[in-house]
Amino acid sequence: MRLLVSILALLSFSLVLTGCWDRSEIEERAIILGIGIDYLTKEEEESFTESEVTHPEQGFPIDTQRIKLTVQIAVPGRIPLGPSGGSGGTSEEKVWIVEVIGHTVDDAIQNLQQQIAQELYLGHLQLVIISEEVAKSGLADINDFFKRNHEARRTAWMLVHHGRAEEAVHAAPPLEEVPSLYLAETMNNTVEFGKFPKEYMGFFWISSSRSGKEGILPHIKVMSDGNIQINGMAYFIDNRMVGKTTPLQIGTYMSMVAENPGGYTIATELPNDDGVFMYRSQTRKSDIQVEIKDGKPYVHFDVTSKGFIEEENKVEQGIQDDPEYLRSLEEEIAKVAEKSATNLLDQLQEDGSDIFGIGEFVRGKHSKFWDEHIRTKENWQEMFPDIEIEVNYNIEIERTGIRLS
Amino acid sequence: MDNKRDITVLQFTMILISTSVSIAILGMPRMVIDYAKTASPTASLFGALLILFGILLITYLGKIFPKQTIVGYSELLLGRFGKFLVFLLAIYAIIITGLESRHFGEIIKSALLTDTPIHVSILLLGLLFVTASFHAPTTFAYIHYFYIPLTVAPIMFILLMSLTDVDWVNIMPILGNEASYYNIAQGGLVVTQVMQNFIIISVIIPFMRKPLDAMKAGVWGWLISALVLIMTVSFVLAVFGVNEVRDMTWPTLVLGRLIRFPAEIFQRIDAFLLIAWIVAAFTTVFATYYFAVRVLRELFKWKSQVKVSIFIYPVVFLIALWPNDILHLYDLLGTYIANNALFLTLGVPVLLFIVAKVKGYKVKGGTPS
Repeated sequence: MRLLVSILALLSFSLVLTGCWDRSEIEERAIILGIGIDYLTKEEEESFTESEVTHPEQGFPIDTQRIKLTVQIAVPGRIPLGPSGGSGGTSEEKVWIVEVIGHTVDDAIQNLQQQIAQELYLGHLQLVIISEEVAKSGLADINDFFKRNHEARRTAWMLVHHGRAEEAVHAAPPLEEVPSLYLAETMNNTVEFGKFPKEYMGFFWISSSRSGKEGILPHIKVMSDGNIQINGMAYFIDNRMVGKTTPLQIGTYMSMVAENPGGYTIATELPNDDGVFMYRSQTRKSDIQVEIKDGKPYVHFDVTSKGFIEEENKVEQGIQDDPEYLRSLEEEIAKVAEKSATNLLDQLQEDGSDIFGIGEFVRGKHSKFWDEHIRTKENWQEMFPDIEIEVNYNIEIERTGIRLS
Repeated sequence: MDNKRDITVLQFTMILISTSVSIAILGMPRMVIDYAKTASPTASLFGALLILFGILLITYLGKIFPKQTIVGYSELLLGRFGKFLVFLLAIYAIIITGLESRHFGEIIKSALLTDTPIHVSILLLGLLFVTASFHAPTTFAYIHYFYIPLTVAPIMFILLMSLTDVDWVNIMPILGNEASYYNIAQGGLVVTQVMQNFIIISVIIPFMRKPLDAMKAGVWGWLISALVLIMTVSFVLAVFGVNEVRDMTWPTLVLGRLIRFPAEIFQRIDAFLLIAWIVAAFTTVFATYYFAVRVLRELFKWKSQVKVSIFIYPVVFLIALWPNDILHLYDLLGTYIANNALFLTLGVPVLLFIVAKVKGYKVKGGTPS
């Protein structure tokens, strides 16, 4: 009996070691930092040979347009920690960029795993760059992979690139060790500077799942020196991109939904003056009123924006310590902002994409109307282009920089 | 084994909280929202109120019989049938311990340790609660008391952190779009199911220093655990919205992954949530298992609690292996077991209370020495 107990006790020590099942050494991991998703070009389509990793030789069960993933993988042990010594090496050498073709995201990832020694790891995924072509044909299937995978973070950024996504993955800013990390850092900073609303992948999914709202993603452009510019906002219907805005309209959008801080500057001229004032908005408040009139929602945005004057150029009279002058300036800025907002709304209504979530206001605050007349997202998408929306800006210039005149 | 009567009111409150804040906290919002849509906070409140009713009855019975557990007074009131009912409660506790162990294993397997065999996670959790169940109620109380800061605090912290990302339109209208009262009630019952393990306090009350304070402690315990659960449902809904929540297996876990800590001190805070949740999982299965052990031991007048605890574990383990897959598991947990068990966990207290009243038992007052 005593022997049996002591043997059992000894055996039970092995239970302490069960944590070792999931051990994983850093050198054994291929850390995916960024993924670019494209459709194949004509040449690639012609030279392509099927690799049967996830399906038998009869071919993939359904007929899908093949996609090409351009994957940026950090090579463990080669990313220098801390300031890099003189050894140098361009960013292309620090990370490993692999291209792989598949029918679906997972098919491509499996094809990739088949040729890479280390285990692919998505836990540090920072960027998913999507070509405009792919975004326009719908993201539902791509989203599924990232939603289902337990490693991928919802705080990764999903970006729409104007041209081929692979270009953006290859883009290498000269000073940076790891391009993907730099780009992700850029995107996180844009949120802090008020250049883009906090719409990373997880929030994009939330927005596009809601009954009365559509998602937005940053629309980027690779500049000639390898930097990335935020070139506007791609807006969606369900999971399909339907258009993009200008960069300033991001600011307009953000002010209308009161996303703070404001990071955009707006140029305004006074009617009786040739010069121009640059007004920078800082904090915004937005009061969105929805009323039901004659069986239709009637929406009124009342936006209050507080900010300061950043620059005046070729102005004759100038502010001259005159508060009245500021008031007239405020009115002019409000007109410009209202114009920009009306343009944005016209464009969105034409494309039928309710990125403001007006439908959600109708659903939440006029649930009776919603239950009787709308009920589904499809119906709201049909109704959105026809509703009347009015925008009223109230600008408050609080400071003129450290110059008064 | 010493059965001292020195569980304090505070410890008793903590037992109730840590039993109610359970494994289910990760998936529960989805189940509630599935039924009640935007009316989920209201539904949760309704569901929790049913539990308050149960807690009041059980603690009242505890005041009438301050020296007896539910095994003692149900036999006194209903004789053999009472014993049978309590036996059923023990069976329920065993089944729920098994299924919740599996539930624990499934989440560990899908989100944390993907290469570790699920049997091992289940077995290790089992080893913990089996050995912890060797001890007297006082120790049981200490363990719960010790773990409370590790469960409720991180969960509340993460919920509050998500405040910057909520959109309150998501929880409007508070009575739901086209949601019938039936749907709201169904959603509420999910919360009732999650909280129904409150029944375990019926074996703890006689070991309190002052069983007459059980009711006060019960209400406090209910208040805090209901607050945690209702807040979880409301915040998850307010951040994600109805459609997105219904798409996710464990929305609370995803919430932990979505929010960012200001200034990026920690890149991911879902680790905190998972640690809290593992402890919460342990305290829940420990509570139900302990209930089963205590009841069976008293019912059949077995002497050694250690042996009871060891010998009923294989049954729990087999039950943990019962579901074929995760959908089957949720089906069993929600639709069959937890749902029908409500008749027991809420029905038995009501029945006992009525019989006690009819037979003219009264609260005697004063502390039993």
